[in-house]
Amino acid sequence: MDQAIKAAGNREGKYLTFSMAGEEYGIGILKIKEIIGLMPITSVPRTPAFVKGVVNLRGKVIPVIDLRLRFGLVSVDYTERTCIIVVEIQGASGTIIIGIVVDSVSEVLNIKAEDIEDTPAFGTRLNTDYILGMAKMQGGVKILLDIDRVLTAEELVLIDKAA
Amino acid sequence: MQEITQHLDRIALKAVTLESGDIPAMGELLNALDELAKPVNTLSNPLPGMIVHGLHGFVERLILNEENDLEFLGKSVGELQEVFRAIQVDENYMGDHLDLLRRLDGGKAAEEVPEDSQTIGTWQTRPPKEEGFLSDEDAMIMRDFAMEAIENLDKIELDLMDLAQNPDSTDIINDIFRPFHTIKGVSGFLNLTRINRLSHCTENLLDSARKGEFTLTEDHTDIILEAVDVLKEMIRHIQNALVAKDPNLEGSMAIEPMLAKIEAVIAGATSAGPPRLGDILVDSGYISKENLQKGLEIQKQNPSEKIGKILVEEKLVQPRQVAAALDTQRKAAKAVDLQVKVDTVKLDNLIDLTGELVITQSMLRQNEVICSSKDPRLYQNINQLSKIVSDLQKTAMFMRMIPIKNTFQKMVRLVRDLARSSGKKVDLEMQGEDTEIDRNVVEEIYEPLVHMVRNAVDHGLETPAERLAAGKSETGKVILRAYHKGSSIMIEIRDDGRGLNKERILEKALAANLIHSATGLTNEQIFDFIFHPGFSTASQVTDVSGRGVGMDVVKKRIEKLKGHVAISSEPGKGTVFSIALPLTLAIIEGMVVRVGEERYILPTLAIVESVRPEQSNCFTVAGKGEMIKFRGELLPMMRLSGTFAVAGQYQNPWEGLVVAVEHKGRKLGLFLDELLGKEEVVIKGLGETFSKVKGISGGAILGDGRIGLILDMEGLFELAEE
Repeated sequence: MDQAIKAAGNREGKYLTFSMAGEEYGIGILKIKEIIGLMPITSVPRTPAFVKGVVNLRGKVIPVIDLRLRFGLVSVDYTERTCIIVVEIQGASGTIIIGIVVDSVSEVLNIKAEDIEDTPAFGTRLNTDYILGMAKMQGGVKILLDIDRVLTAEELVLIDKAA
Repeated sequence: MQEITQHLDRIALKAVTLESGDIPAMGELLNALDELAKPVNTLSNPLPGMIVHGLHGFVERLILNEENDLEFLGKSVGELQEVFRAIQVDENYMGDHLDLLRRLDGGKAAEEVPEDSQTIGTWQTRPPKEEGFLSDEDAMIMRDFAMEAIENLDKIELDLMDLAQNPDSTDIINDIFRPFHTIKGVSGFLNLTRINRLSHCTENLLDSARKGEFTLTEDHTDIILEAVDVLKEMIRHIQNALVAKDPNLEGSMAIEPMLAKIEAVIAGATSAGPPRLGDILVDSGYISKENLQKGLEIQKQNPSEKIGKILVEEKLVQPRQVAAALDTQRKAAKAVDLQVKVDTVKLDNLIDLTGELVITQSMLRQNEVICSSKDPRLYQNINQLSKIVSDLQKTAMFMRMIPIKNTFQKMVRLVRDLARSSGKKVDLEMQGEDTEIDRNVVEEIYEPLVHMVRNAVDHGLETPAERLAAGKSETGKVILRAYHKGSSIMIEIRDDGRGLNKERILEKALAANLIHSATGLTNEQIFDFIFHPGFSTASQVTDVSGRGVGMDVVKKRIEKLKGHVAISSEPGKGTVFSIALPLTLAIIEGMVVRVGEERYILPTLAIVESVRPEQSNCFTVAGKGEMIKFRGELLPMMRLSGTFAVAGQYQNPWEGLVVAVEHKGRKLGLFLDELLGKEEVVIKGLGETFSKVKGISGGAILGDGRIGLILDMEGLFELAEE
């Protein structure tokens, strides 16, 4: 079904773009609740490294993950440009609010369907399910993420095992 | 016909939302009535047309301010709907249309109306309903109706119990009447004729009582309860039928016997008026019947005088006594609570946000610029802010609380039924029903409470004969009491029965090998055995209790709620079960502890003691990890830093701190860096993301706005065993 949606050009729309390790990524703006500055993160024991812990978002406890670590990139020290993008993803029982740490937020772009290309096949070894497509923009290629798949709920719930 | 129904619905809405003095709305209502009159006048039945005409006149007089009874307007429109409904289903209209028309006409006689209401409703205006199952939409309406009706019936049951204690309170009768009226109205609309008939019939009984035609006695209450049961049965049938897509919604339960019973009661009801002030005075022994009669004679000549005043003037009673009697009369008036249903999610959000407000406010207070300011107004404002914020937080927390009253009142019926079946006389007294308690706790406490009340009636209280022989009054007493004590709520179940039989309990405990000898046991320890699984001293097993299951479940339930239960008992005088429960499940008292940079919250309930051990008391047992000697006991030791993989400040237990914790009888020493202090924290779930993280049960926002994780004993012990 997702393939069908992708093909139908539903990918067109507004994306928040951010940079990480020299690459530009985009997340559909409708998935994003807010962008907050870095705040003290309480680490939760016995979880995988990419799970940074929990933060207090105005009285709500929300999990925070580091997208660099999730993608297997080299981790860097957080700077004042480091942000937490708060997104809403589909969990097993309703939606989950989750924060993702990225290097820096760039801009909101309106991306047209004709600018979006399907993910090239990297061979079977590489799972590209979480990539909606590639947007060819003037500044270069932006990787559009299907954030629900980047942080599949099962993965988060099963984090205990990885400890 | 459909057109009429539509018009009528609109008019009903307008009529109920009408406010006095709102002339434009009344004008609209008049227009709507005119619209309605057109199709209505084409009907062969003259009654609806007359009522519409009457309503028209009534609204005109409302506009001219000659009338002001808006409630009656609503009622009349309701009656009009009833009439149509009766016509639609080809039934007789059961209401008093003559009286209605008379009142609509402003008291003028309405002789032209056909006297015989039998002639009304014989017009076939609607084709018989076709067979087949409901559309989705109808099914949804039906489902909503069924759910609401069950809710209403539950409420009626409670109110009936209330009524048994204040049989004259018209407020309570009204409270019972209204839901019946709703069920009647909606079931008529939904074509559920049998439910409609039964509720209508019961409503009539209540209506007579409401008008003061007679006082509802226990027999009436019983019949209404029976009717409630029958209605519930039928509504459950609807619910099942909806699932099974069975077109026979109402089932085939016979309601005729029930109807006959109710009608017999209405017919046989005496026309004795409600008890008056005079009766209360006589009952209280303040005045003799003869003297009251004298006073009444005087009142006859002087009808505007109040009887109380006359009696005082005639020096037949003391003013104080009249005041007391008036007070008794007034007590029947029950406060009607106005309530709003709120989604708990919204409530939780409110609590979260107020929590944040508290933190932000305290940060503001500690802000250097503000602290160094010399402006007295700023200080004033900040103090004011703190006060408001803390009040707000309290209010928000208490919004989750509901009075324990409803739970207590459910016991009334239980006790009544139990007393009947066991042939005992029981008087149930309730104290502190308005004590508020977390709604989650209320739900959890219901079953244990039922069990303990059953025990009190079944085992605690003696039979009337036994009681008389023991020199007690025939009627046994069970007292339910709730009150606040510190940050706990206490619930007591007290009976004045035979008390626990210490010897029998000891015998049983010895027989079951729970103990080897009875020496050195305190009363409390002995009584505690009844919480042991499979322990029952009842010589006879009844159908309600005495099977030896139950008390252990009671104890488990209460402990799950982080409460505890204690027993005190005296032979021949009775037994008291006291349950102590935390006020709310949302707050936990914990010790904030530090491990390296991280802070955790250790529930105080689990903490036994904390020590900085001597080096000589720490051992490493090969293959078994580290142990620590603690008051002569050897406990396994767990390094929190190691288990949670955080860098601790100290590497050796004798530098840091070891806290001995206990859970389900097992003990463990937790090695950590420092205790930071006790705090009451609001528990926040970590969500499904972290639901499987062992050793952590949740998070809490600490004073500086950061999150501390709450340690979970169950998980920690499991981790320690790995």
